[in-house]
Amino acid sequence: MKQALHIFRKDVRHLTPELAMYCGLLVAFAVVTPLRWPGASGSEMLQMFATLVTFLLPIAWLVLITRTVHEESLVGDHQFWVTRPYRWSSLLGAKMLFLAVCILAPFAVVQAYLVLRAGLELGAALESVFLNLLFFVGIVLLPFTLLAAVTASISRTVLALTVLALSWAGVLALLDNLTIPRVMPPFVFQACSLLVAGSLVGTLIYQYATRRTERTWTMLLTTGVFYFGLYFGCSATNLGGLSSVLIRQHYPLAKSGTVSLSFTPSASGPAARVRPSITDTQGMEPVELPLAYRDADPAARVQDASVSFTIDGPGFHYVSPWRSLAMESEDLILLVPSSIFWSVQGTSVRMHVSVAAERLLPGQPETVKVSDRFRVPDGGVCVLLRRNISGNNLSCWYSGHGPSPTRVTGPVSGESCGGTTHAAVSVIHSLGGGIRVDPVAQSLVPLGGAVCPGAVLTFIPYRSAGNFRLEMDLPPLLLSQYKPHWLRME
Amino acid sequence: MIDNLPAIEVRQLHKSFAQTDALAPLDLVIPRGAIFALVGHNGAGKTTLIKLLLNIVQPTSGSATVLGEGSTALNGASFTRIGYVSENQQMPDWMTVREFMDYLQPFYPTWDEGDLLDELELPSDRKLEHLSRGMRMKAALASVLAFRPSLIVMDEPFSGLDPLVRDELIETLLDRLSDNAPGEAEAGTTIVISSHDLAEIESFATHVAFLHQGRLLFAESMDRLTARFREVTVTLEGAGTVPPMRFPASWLMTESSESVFRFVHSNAETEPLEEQVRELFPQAGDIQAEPMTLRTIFLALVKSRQSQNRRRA
Repeated sequence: MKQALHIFRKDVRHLTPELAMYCGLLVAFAVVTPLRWPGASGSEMLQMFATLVTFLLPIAWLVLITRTVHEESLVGDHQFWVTRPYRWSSLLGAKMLFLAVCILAPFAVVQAYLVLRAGLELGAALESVFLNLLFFVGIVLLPFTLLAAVTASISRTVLALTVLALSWAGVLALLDNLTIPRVMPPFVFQACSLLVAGSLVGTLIYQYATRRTERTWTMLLTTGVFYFGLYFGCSATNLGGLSSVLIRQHYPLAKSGTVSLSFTPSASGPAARVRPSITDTQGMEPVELPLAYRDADPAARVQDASVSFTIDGPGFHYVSPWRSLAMESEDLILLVPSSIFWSVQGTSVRMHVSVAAERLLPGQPETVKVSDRFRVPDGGVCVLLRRNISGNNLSCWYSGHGPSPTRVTGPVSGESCGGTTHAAVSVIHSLGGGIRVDPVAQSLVPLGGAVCPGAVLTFIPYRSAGNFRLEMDLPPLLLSQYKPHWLRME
Repeated sequence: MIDNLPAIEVRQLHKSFAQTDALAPLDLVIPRGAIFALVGHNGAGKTTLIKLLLNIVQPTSGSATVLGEGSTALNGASFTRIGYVSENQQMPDWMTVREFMDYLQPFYPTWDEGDLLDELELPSDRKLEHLSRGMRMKAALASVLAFRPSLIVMDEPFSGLDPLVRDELIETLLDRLSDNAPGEAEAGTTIVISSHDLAEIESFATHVAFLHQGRLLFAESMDRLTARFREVTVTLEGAGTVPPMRFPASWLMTESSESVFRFVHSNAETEPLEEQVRELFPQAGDIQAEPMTLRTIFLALVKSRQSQNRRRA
């Protein structure tokens, strides 16, 4: 530890100019980021400057991380430190200390400042800020440190990062083009992230302990191939049935009387409807089954629904993977491989359908009186914008990735306040995952009019009532009878 | 017990890069307390051998022990006893000489720089990047001498230095050697020094090894080497050239003119030189056997090897 501190102090002293610039950039980021929030009065130039600062931050991270790692470069055989009594663990410890104290801590402080600046409660935001920093470590600090550890100069680090990022994007694009997205089985993303992060940490330790750069590169590329293999395994194959087992375990069979599926065929077949984008897939034929989902509680909602089905006919058996499902209509649209569809379209087949989803129930409604800026449930803050955006003027801010789905109801006026009002309803959804440089997530609430000061809004947060799965055997049917109407007209 | 072991022992150490042999398998023993000169042309394999010994690069095959430890097992702690100075070493150029010494001090429990900086006339407040080549070598040497290592390895330390600086460095090195390293009271500090300039190490090396094109030609003590090699000039009485004949294996670079026959005897210490000459040349008159410098020994060996190779080809 003593040696690690000694090396750390040396790094800080040498990189003081870079650190000063980084801190300046963070201060600029803290000052200008609120100008990008809805309703801020920043000029267009300031907004552009804020964008530029946000763009510069990852560059600053890359430069700082590379500079500190290259203070004692691990690649090459001319470094003075290689023949000095450095303990590799102390050296690695010194670098980790530098990353934690000089890069992560200032960034965490700025994140906390922005949360407070937005008027959010820091205590309530701590978990999301912590998760955000964890993402930051996993997605930025660790990969950048590892790349710096296997390259000899900053230009080579940038080159390696560019090549890896392009390869990454290229392979993902290729996989997306080749395969239809499937539902990621539960825990696979977490397990995969842990495995990849563990593998990267192990590779970094190995490089510091041995300085065998070629082997470290091999380990690094193997990790990449493993990740893509797993991704491909999840998105293009059934992982040998494991995927289905995990999903079934995670979504237990629904208790009778709460939710159900019913099959209600009509003689005329599916009604004409707008073609959803999900059906726009080569090599697959959409089949629209008159399967209606019912919940005993009309206020309940579902999210993250997915479906799998089997088709059995004379001499064949087909099992579909689990795919996302939109449950907003009375009918379910399933994608059947064209080869299967055309070979059995005129044959009577038996189908079994499995639907899995998370059930949501409304929580305790909370009424809030509207002012220019007011607190709302789930630790959020809403502001009234001076100018309407797409006819709406209510923007709600949350830390991290936003609240659970929340239904908002209340009176709204037309273009501006003072006129007649009418009741409106909207839903605030979670705002997506991943790393957020700006910890304040904003959501425009599309109530379809202007919310005026003094009005009372009701917020109903929807809480999870657990996962469920529905299984249903369909009577013998002809798939050709359930081709969606828009296809027949083409 | 450890003092009886050699400072360095090499067994069939071999390094190749791709298909090229940088160092053919070699055996070498460097006794404790020796000033061991590793000489050879540029590209002979001196630096590769040093980097293998210090675990900076890993061998393709073979092994070496350095101060009793396997070379591939050398770690940070090992370098509290081993000092390394190289012409190509990247230093923290942004530090001043004083900062450099202060930075290194906590790494070494035996640090005692005394008045080294004054002795070497090093400007303590000047950054390393602003030092001349000679000054940089002095700073590097000071940072090694300050912790009194048991083994000092120097890779081309005098390359490109003016004679005055070179002499200063040698003088400081030898002065410091007179103070034995801790725990090395009997054997003293071992120095391995590589150079392509034979003249600069001849005056103080106790042992020498010749590397040529990645192969070790020989390694032995200077005393034995200088006793072994003689440049022999034989005056032949009567006219006529020397007819083709088979010479002893220890005779190198044989050449003759009208009345003189010259060669290098590589085993003059143990073989009866004059008897050998008179047996082959009954007409031999005066026989002169002169000691040779390291440079002339090296040249004789290299040229002899080249002519052997030509004959084989």
